[in-house]
Amino acid sequence: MSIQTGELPLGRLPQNTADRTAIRAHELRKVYGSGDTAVAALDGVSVDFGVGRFTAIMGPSGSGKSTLMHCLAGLDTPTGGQVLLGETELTQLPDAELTRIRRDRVGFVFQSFNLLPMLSAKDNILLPLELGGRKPDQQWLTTLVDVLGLQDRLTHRPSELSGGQQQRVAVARALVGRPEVVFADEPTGNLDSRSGAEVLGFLRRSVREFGQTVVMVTHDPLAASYADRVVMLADGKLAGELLEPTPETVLGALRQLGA
Amino acid sequence: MRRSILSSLRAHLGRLIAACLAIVLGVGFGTLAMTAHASASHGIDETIGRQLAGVDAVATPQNASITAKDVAAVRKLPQADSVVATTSAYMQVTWAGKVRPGSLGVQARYDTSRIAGPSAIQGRLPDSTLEIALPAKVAEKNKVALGSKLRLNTYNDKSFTVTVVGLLDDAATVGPSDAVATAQTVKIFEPEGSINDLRIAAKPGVSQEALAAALTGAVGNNLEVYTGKAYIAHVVEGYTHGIDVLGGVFGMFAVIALFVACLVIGNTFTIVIAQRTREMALLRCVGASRRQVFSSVLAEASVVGVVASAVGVVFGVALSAIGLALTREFDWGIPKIDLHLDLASIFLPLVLGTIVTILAAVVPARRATRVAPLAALRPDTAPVAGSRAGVLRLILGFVLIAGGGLLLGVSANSNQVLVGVAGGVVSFVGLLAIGSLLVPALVRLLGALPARGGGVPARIAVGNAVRNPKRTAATTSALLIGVTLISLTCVGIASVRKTFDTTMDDQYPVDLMVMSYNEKMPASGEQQLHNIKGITQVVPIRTVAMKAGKESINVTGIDPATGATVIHNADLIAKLKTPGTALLDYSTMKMLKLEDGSTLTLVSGHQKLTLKAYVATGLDPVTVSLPDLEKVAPQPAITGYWLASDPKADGSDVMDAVQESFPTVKELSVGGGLAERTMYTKIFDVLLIVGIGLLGVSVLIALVGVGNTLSLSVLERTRENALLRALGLTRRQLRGMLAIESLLMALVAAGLGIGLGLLYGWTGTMALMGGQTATGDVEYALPVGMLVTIALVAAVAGLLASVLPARRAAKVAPAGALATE
Repeated sequence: MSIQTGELPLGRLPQNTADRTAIRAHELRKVYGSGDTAVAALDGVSVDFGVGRFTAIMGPSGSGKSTLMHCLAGLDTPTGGQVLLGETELTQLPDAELTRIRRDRVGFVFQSFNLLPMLSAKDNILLPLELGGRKPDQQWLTTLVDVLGLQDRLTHRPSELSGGQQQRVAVARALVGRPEVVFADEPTGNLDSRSGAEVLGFLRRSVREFGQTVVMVTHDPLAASYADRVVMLADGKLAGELLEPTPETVLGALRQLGA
Repeated sequence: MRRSILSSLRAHLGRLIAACLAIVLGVGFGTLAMTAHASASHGIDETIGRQLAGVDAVATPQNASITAKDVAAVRKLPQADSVVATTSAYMQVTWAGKVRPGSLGVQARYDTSRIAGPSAIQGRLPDSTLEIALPAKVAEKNKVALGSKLRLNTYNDKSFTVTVVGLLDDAATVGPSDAVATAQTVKIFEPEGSINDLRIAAKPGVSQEALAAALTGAVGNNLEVYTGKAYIAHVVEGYTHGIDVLGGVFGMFAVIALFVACLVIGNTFTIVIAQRTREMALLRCVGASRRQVFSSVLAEASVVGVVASAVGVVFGVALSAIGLALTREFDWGIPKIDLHLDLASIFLPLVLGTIVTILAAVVPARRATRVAPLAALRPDTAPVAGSRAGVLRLILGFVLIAGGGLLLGVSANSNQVLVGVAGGVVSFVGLLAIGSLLVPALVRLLGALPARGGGVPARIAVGNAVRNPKRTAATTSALLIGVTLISLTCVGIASVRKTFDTTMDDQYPVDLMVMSYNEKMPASGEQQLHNIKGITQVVPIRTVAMKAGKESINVTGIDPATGATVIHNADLIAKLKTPGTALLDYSTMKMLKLEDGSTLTLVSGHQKLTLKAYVATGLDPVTVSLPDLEKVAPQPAITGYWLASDPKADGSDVMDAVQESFPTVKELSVGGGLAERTMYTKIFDVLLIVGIGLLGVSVLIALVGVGNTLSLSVLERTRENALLRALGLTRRQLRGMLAIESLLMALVAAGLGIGLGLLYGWTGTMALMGGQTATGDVEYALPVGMLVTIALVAAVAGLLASVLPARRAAKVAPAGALATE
């Protein structure tokens, strides 16, 4: 595999992205259970995520941040409201359509259990593309692998990789198809601080250099400080937001939520 | 501990249900076999007991037949109250609508005041001469109504007309039974009639033993004497021997089914325990000893075993009750018997089923004890069962395969069937032992194609199928047993049949030989025979009496060209086509003191014919080509026909039709190989159907196992599947993935099983038949159609087995499954 240095083939330069919306939630509601035992995990959330922006969703546990992400990503069906991915309204789509959207237009990085144990690192990275029958862009793949430092690890099985390496493979997989949005659910939750910083650094780099849109759920103020913007959630409702966050401002905002 | 076992049973009942199903099927089948056997034996006991009611002692011919003197001596015995000498005559009977007569035994009616005898269900028993009562089934079959007349002939051509006055109750008898006439009538039919047996009823107060002793004193040592009870047992034994053999075969199949169930259950427990590693570890953490963990697993298995076996017994009894009710309802030529339950046929399957379940759980239970308490504390224990194949086990496997193969080779060469069976079992066990190595390799090999062409889901399916080699091997083994045995049955029976066919062609080169000794064949004879369905070729033959030296012999001439179409022996045809050749059967050859290839001179009137003589089995005494015959006997008359029949036609129908042809010819002789061929074809067909049917049960159980393994694997891979779904695997692709996994296992089992079936079937044929044929050669059949069917059925069944697990897997919402820790 040839190593490309110097200029990166910038597939998507940020161009006039600040005012375009990648994904939008409108009056999103999600109720679990029914009758007396009904619990509203999301209670009318409306929020936009801009193209080429790195947004963190924060909130105390039980605030509905994971549910919000699942509904945004088409993993879960909301009880009410709409989700617009680009021009596509997700909430009314049948399962097969949602699956296709997840495959072709969205990328995922989960907290743990990101990789399939019987596939090599490379096969794991290419999985979403192959599921859709798409050919990978070799140059882009090489770039990703180089930048993530996975050149020597491509033939390894997940069990032969460290936690940080596994998570970097997951990031590569999320990015390889150039999705409209990458969703990351506590991507550093299971990592030591150094590996966590590497993964977060790369997520931010993908936004800055490749114009990727990233939405990340986290409860770690340090992780949130890598984002351009932090959206606060409490009791299933929007509870404010921060722009250009630092760990201190995030912590302060969290304290204000009474967490 | 008891509470923990019960609650864990409750919690995991769903996962054990498939294992229960396997036990239910195995035990149910065993119960069915045993109940059917018990009912049949009991039914025969009852029937024979009823037929011999009142008989206290019996004398049957042994070294000598029973004479009138014997009868007189017995009648004088003070202990005897009633003495019956049963006699019968054998007659030919002309049924309406039949061209040629059938045979009928006529039993003399006797005094039934003390000793049981035939009873009439319609009309009455005969009172005067030339009256007869027919068995009801015989009357029904030949459409004889009460009051009609029948023509009976003795074998020395005396003819009688009798009136049918009654129909006998023969509902409980098997096979043909005798008609009844008065003793006087039987005496008229057969003045020298022999006595079949003596039946004696004792005076009150005389025991059977005392009577038998007195009887022995009266008749001496030339007759066999039994007490009434002993005689019933003797007769019953004669009938039940066959049933016992049948019961043994059934039992063997039931054991096979239970063994397969054992594999399935063992595999289920292994998987369930692997999935409960953390639970086991937690038990150990809070202070459970290894022994407690072990016995808790076994206790769980016992409960499952007892419950499932009980359900199986009920299921089996219900099935046999339904089956017997059906045989009573419809006439299938089997006697009607009632359901009879004995303790053995209920408790043996129950106990065996439970033991098998517990045995199957021992290995998994031991594995459970090896779980370290720390495993409970590890955050993310992936439930992976140990999948390193024991080296020892592999070595043992290879040794067993080599040893078994050696035994198979020995048996094939020395025609020792038992050695062959041992070799087969040993090598198969060896194969099962290396299954964890062999099966994944085969799955990979077979999976290469879909993996390349079918995209990611297919590749993942192959990966999943080989991920846990032991599990895959155990699942496949269960199926392998059934498929191997079914293929073995198909291949073996096809090969034995083909070998038989070849030897039959040697012994009976002609299917049907129709001839009359001294009557004229009708002019349209050839066409009449041609019109019979199932007859493909008709070639007329001409027989002329000639002299060979002093001996007078019949010489048959056949046109060599057309004769080739009815003689299934290329060698004989070639000889017949050489002018100047005579084919002689062995006894004629011997009579004329000829050797193969020596010269035979036939004389007809003043003409002489010199031929070279060769031995030929299965043709006429002397067979020559028609041109040779016509040299000495111009324009001989047609005296018979040689026929070829369609192998697919029903042989007995064809023979019946041929028998019924030519009403003008009184004595028509029908010979040839078709009769024997029809008989063994029927036997083979029945064997094949019974074998496949019985083995089908074990295949069914194995398929339950495949479905079970899949659903447990699916449970285990919930998160993995959720991840795949999150990354864009459609539901349909997920279902397809599981279908491919299941299909791979089924096809590997089918392929391996068919291969083994061929190997074992052919070796078995060699061992079984090698000593039976003249040359020691056997024919190896490759029943392609049947084997392809087996593979197809296995594939379809494999796909079906994946349906439920796949549905369950596809139902899981990706978000929910990813969230569960």
